[in-house]
Amino acid sequence: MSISISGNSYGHGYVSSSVNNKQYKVAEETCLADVIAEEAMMTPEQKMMYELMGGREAHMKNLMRSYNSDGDYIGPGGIIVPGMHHGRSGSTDRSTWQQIISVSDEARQKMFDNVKREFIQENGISNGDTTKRSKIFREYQLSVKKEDRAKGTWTLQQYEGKYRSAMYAAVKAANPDWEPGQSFDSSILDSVTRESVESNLVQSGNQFVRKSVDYSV
Amino acid sequence: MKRKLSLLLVVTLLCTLFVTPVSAAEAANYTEDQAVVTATSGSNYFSKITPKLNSLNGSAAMAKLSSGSCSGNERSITSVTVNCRVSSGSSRFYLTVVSPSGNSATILAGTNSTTYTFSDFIGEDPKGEWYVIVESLGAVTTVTATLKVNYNYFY
Repeated sequence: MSISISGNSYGHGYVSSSVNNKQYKVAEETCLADVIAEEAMMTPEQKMMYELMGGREAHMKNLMRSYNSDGDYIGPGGIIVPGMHHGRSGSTDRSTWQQIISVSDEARQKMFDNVKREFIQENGISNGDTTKRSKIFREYQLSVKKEDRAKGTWTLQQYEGKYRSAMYAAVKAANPDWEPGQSFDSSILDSVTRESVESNLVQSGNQFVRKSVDYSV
Repeated sequence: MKRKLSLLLVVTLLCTLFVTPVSAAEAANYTEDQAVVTATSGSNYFSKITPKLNSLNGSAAMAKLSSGSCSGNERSITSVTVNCRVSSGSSRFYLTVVSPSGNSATILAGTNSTTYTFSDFIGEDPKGEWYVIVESLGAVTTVTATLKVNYNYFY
């Protein structure tokens, strides 16, 4: 992950013996121009502090820690899965990754089980403090090739919403007065299976919609 | 006799409505095709503030923010903004936001306190953990960021 930076033969004063690796190159392509521009704008005090902290060499080394050996931006500690960073905001059209693709039964089942567990645990409330959905997405992302990660994640999110809606509908059907936050008999959800929900979905653009019009709007 | 029957019927109905918990027997009757639920929709938002983020010489400073409870079953983000209050003497910086699904994008942020808009998360479900990352382009950057996420929802 880390890269050794030493010597002065590359012309920037922070030259690496590993300048040919992707981690270095991407960090350089992405950041160096901005760093140089920033250096030009520094006040003498800022410049002094900058140099005391190791200057450009140390700076680039720190920035490069957010990249992996393939040159993907992965953030501090690798919190971003390669393929999930879309570069400068707005630079990539969302439609390139907000697409429906095939997602494995295993991944969909994991998501379904998580939605069900959280629906019961939180009595139908969507609690962002306790949810494990990020973990499900990350596991999925790491299980597929980089090119499919963002698209598959989008697809999985579409399923997730439909699973939750089906569970809500089931509890409501059993007790029309029920509201999220009120307890309910969790065995109501025994009749809601991933297969039963998915069999009623059809793709519409980059989303899923229900085949039959069950909801009165 | 008629009165007694009526009374019994009323008591039974009241039990069904207010006393008896939702039963599994009722659930057994549920099928996807039979569920009829009146859809309700609306819009909502959450706003969370990071602690002071100090990035020294390009090292990353990161804060984790939770959406808290979100309305609705199906949600769709309509906008994500990050208001950055930048301490004086700070250098420009990279501002990166990571959504709960793991999508992320970066903006090159200036030294003035400004609100930045990320269009990359539109359509996503906002529920869960968000990350705000600051990476200084100079010696030091100190920022307090407020993440605001607007979304539509429906039941």
